[in-house]
Amino acid sequence: MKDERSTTQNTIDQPSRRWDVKGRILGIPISLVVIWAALFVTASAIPALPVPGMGGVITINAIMTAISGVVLGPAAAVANMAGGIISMLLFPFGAFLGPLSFLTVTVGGLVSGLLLANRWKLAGVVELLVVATWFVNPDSWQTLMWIVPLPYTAVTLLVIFFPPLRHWARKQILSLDRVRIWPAMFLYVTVAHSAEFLTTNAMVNWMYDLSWQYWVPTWLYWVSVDTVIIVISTIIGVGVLTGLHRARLPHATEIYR
Amino acid sequence: MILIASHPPRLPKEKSVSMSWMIDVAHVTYTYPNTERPALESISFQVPPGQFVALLGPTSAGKSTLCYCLNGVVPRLFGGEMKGKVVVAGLDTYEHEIPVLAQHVGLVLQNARSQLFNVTVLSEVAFGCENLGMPPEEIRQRVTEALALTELHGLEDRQPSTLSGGQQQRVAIACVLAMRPDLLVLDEPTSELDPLGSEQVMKIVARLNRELGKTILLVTHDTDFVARFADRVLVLYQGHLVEDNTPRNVFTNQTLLQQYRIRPPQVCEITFELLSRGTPVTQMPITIDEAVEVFKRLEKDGQ
Amino acid sequence: MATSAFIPANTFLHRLDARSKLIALLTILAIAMILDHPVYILGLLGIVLFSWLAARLPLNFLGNIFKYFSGIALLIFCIQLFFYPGEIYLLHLSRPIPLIGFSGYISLEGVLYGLALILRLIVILTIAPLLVMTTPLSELMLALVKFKIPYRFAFILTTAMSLLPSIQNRAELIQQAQLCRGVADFEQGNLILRLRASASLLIPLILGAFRDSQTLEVAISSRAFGAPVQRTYLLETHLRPVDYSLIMASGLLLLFSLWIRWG
Repeated sequence: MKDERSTTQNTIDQPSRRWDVKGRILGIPISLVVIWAALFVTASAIPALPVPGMGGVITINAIMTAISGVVLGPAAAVANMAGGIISMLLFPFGAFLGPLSFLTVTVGGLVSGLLLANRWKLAGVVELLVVATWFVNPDSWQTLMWIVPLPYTAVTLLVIFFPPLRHWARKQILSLDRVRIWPAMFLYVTVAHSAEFLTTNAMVNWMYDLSWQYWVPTWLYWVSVDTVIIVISTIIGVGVLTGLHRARLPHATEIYR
Repeated sequence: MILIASHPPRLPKEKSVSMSWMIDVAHVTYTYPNTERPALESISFQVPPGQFVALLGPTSAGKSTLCYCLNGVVPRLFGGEMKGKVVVAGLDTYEHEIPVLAQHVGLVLQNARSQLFNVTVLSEVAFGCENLGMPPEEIRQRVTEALALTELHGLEDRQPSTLSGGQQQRVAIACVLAMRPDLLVLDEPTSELDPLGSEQVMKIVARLNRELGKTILLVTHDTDFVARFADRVLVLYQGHLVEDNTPRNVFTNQTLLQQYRIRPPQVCEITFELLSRGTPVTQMPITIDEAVEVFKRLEKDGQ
Repeated sequence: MATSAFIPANTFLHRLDARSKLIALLTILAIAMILDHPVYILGLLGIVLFSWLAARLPLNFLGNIFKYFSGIALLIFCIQLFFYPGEIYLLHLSRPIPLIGFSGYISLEGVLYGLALILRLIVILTIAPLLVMTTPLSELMLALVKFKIPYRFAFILTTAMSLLPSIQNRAELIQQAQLCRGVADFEQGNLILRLRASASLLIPLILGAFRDSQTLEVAISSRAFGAPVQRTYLLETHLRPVDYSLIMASGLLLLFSLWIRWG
């Protein structure tokens, strides 16, 4: 078959030319960024978990944020930002961080996306900035406040700054190893989710001065909420990633492989 | 960020140079990235201006890929490996970017819904002209003209997703017409429409060719329509161009139709059936009008 | 689910240019964060509520906001009420309880700061609807572009919005199919069941939507997207004197509040 083809091709004397794909946003086709933003808004309308003492809910866009970096790479930041802004425009009553709510999901997608793109230094800078905005606020110097970002921020910092773990997780995600993708996905999802919730917490504290009297008693609840979100996002993340790979659909791990 | 200052005010419409062919495809072989088998293999054909060409073939024969070649989406958007030369309206697709080619080639896709992505019909149709940097008055004029050609007046402020399938596909045609292309490439525009919607779309396509002299390349399975309006039929099979002939010669060739899994127009099917039963049909009809005459004559002869 | 929060009307606020409205919104937002005395924020809230009335926006939305967020408002207020380290004692409650950081007194400063935070919350919650409900989407996008936000980003915003109906439609179909197969829906069942339902929705939803991306990509670029020229817009907007006055007023108000806080 191959030989036959080459003989017909030799009829004209022109070398074949290799074309690189064009018109992308951080390596991702703009249509995917658009579609992700629309998916994100759809997910924002589906409630999942209540917020204690506040009457609000966490919607399943928390899951979308957690897996966005693995699916889209750094472009996840743009997609989540667009999705967050639209959610705010359509349901302007939903978010107590007001018009700035989109920042949290942007940061979540950014840190994990940069990590997937192997831009770990930049990911580290962003994550440290988030940690700093939390700790610079005098509220977080109060009794026991240091436990609030724990344990998942510690895991995140470890994934970003401990080279063996960073390399291992990235390798497993990119190679889609049947078994080892699970712990690796858990780590990536943790990075995204912890970056998101620490940004949220920091913003809440700067705006509304919630002191340790709120954070410390609800600590256990929040850690379990985060755990549930991270576990379910791991399952969905693996499902989505292997599905995309099998169907040969465009996504980020294809670019960085 | 793109530097605005370095931009010309408007993308000029490249002059077509010494154009004897509207489409000139020479020895094109194209392979998508990350695949082994080429989607198209040494394809060559020429189409003069004003011709109505139908492209037939079974699913995954490479018909869509060939359509994408004509406005530069292949290889510019998809990447991959390409050999040969595609010249459309006198412009080499290797040398000109997609926006330049878009002013000469209008591409309409199969799925009406997912090719419309603006909030209103008006902004949908204006989208291409806005991208090309045309002044607002001119855009308005072109949009009005395109909506008139596709019989969509009064729907300007509707959301595209609330329209019927046939209307959506006509909006898609209006979108490319606003850029005033010389060539329209339509990739199965009616395969997802109901009979009424298809009829409306096909009527407009035929009129664009007959009255405005637009060159048409139409991918379709609607061979009844092809028999009525097309000047020429290309058959694509497994990435190869296997037949290039008049509709009559293609639709009356039963072995060819069976070999490449093409369903002929209904009148041809009936005639093949009559022939197999021994009825002496001397002249093969391919359209209903022809069939009426032929069968009348048969009746007169007492068959 | 709505695809636009815009409420058409012909009021002063509706006629303003989206750009000046956006600037005013950001200014009020910034001032609400800068100032922390309830009287000032009450003044700010007055402006917001007056605009709300002037734009003839439905008042029951306001009611919903207050109802929905009364929980968090109460929480924020109570924390300041009991734990703010104030000096002017209003009320003696009990002996100091160091374990929870309670001094035993409710202080004036605590009450005031708690009120300020509640008012800040209300301003933040009511300011975005004010813009979104008085401005059509297309004008909002144009305003973003005029503010030199990259066109590509504005494009992502509008296009995602117009794709919403079809994606929501798809989501509903998947949910119905999953219900038929006995997967719990989101409204019922315990936490694990509800989250399992979200997995069985999100995976097929994402994969299905990604499958359509290629058509969209081809359609977008076939219509000259990203042509190397400055894009034009069919819709034109112009700042009128009243818009300039609003922008000026916003600037002055911002300077004034900076002076109150740090001057």
